[in-house]
Amino acid sequence: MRKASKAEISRSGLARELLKRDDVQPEYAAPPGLTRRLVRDISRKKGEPDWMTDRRLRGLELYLRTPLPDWGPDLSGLNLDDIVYYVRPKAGESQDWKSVPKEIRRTFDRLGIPESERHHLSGAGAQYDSEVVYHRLQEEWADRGVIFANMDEAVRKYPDLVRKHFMTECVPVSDHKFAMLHAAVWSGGTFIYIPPGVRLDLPLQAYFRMNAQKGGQFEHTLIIADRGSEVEYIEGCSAPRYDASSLHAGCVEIFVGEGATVRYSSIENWSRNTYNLNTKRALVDGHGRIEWLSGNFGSGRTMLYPMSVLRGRKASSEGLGVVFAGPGQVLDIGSKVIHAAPETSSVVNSRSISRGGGRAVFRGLVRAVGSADGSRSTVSCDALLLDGQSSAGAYPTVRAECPTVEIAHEATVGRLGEESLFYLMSRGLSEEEARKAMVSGFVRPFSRRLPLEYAVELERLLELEMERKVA
Amino acid sequence: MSIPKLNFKYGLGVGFDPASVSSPFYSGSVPQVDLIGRPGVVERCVDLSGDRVLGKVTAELGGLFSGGDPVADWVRNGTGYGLAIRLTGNETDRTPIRVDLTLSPLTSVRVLVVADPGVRGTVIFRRHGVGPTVMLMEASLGQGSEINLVRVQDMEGGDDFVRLQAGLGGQSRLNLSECLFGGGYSSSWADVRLTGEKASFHSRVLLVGGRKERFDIRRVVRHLAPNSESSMNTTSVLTGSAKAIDRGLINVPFGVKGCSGTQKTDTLILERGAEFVSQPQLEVGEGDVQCRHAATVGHLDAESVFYLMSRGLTESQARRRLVEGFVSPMLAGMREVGMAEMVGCLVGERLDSERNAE
Repeated sequence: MRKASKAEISRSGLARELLKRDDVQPEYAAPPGLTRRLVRDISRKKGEPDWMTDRRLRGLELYLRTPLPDWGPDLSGLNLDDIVYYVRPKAGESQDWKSVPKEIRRTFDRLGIPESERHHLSGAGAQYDSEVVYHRLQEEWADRGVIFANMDEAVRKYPDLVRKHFMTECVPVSDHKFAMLHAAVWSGGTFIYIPPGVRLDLPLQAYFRMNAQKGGQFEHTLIIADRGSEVEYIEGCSAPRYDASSLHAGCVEIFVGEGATVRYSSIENWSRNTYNLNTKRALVDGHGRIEWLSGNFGSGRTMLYPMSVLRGRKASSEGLGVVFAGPGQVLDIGSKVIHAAPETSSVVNSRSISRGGGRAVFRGLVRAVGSADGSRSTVSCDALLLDGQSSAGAYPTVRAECPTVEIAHEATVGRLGEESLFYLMSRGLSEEEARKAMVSGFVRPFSRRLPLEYAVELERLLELEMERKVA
Repeated sequence: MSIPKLNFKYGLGVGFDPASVSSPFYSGSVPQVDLIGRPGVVERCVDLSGDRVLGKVTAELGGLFSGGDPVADWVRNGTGYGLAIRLTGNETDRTPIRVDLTLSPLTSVRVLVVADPGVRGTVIFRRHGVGPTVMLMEASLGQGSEINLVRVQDMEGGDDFVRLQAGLGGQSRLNLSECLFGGGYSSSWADVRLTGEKASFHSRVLLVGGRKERFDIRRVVRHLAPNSESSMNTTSVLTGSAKAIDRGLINVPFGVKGCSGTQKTDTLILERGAEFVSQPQLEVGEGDVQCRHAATVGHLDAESVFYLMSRGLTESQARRRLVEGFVSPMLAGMREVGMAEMVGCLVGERLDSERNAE
């Protein structure tokens, strides 16, 4: 990995600044609470076909009669009747950056969009509260049949593709309480279709910003990578800090076709008052590959378990994640893999750091069904506790239903090794520097897989978190 | 006698529901309990419902169970039979106490093991017969004591429930070894509290299951004192359509420093239809600890089978040798308490019976 320039580091050092509120008034904000009328209103405002309205209403119906999960982090502080489920910013979608309102543009400019787009992206999108404000794909890829569109627009322009794949097979509407909620009030997000054999050499990126107080963001990402194609998609998320809670319940559905490869990277840095209850899942066909890279830093409570269903022979998945839980945070994050076909393979590698009373939890599942002959899986999760007040948990489940599979799992919880610390200090580093170096090394397997700009942001975020510890 | 209403929830959705039993719960027959060893330290077999209750010892019965476990409540609330074992006296006396339990179906037995400070000893329980039966055990270890609790379960059928609660004083050590070879549904739960500094708990489970047998292993270890130590190892061999679930939790609360805990599960699945679920869990609220868990699930290596066959063994002999090799670390542990030979024979018998069933 090349060394980051000072300018890059400086740009990425805006992480904390992004927790400040933007001075942007919405064009329309629905009253707090969820009603059948609101769901119909959202659908009508977006000019959706009847099937989508029906899907939303079904989600609402299921949501209202499903209780909150009785496991995982405490969600009692989340008042679902107080959330504003739809907020439309004063901007329509644009392909021209200059036509995005100045106040909104300023936020995304600080994030390096669309500067990044010019240098190292095939396309970029930006969502502000409930609506997408910018979406653009480089012409070269558009000419080759790649679709990179706002999800709302995709419902209208590609109804057959969307109707077939939207919350049907991958994440059904009835999946769980927050998937049901998502189905009812989803807005914005990204639709990507990569035609057979097309390999994008630069990533696509979307950034989600939730600015409204007590707001909810429910973007939907649907990626269809057709036979033999390849794509990398990067998501970034942030929200300003308020006194009241806000909710993020997005949904990511990925279809990986025969021999296709999808790499999905995300860095979620929500503010501490955000409940991040996200759903991510991929269905992988034969010889296909899904790679999940996720960095989770923000939010007060997170429940996030990206799942890969390996349903074709020799399909594979890799999940790499890093979690940093600071004061008051409970980040319950993990990974699920279902081996549903022969000779499939998976690797899950999770690293978590807790400090200042934060709690990081790994919750995972590896299941090999009876037909998964010759499949292999390796899961490892390591938790680092930087002080006495923090805590960590590991709740993995291994379920083997096939006599010819090999599954290995390991987990460790511990603190920074005194001897290693002493060794670094004997080489001239201060204790603070030694600790930083060791934490940086601890997350290195993850950060070296990220695109440079994100790796720099990650490094900077870690540095800031560590500095706060020292302070 | 009225039967308590219970709502049983089993990990694998099988087992018996006592509430559905129409006859009185206790059969009334005295369990056959043969005590081999030193009668002086085994207080005696007591009838908890009658006058022959051992006042001092039985007063401690039920003290560790905090309620909430339907099986434990079921036994505690009813009458039944109990066995109180107090290990006293000479620290160097290691003669094992062996208890052969052949219980009638639908009976329960409560066992209390008390180890006085500084005592070392071994108590072996052998279970035969047919279930359903319940065994409720409580172990209380005094300062510096060391107890080996060994349980060999070789039932012909029926359900078998075992619940163990143990409290360990400072520098005491409890080695719990269980070998499970049969029964329709075998449920073995242990909840261990390391209440004294440097207390340690070590659990070993060897499980060989076939046909439609179900196994439910659960271990909860609470490190409540500094520098305490725990390890849990489970080795399973599953054939036929046997199913097993192994759950383990290591809990270290805030402020309890210098603890270490490990969990390890190794499983061999020999046939299609067998199923294994592992749920190792760590809950750590203190930075100054070292906790880890590991789980592996695999099958017999075809190349190794081929190699042994090329040396003149038949396929079934080769497979059996490899399985024996897989469980040998567990048998080595049994050697310490003089049970390796017996357990080795039971493993062999079990594998033979599965082969004959084919």
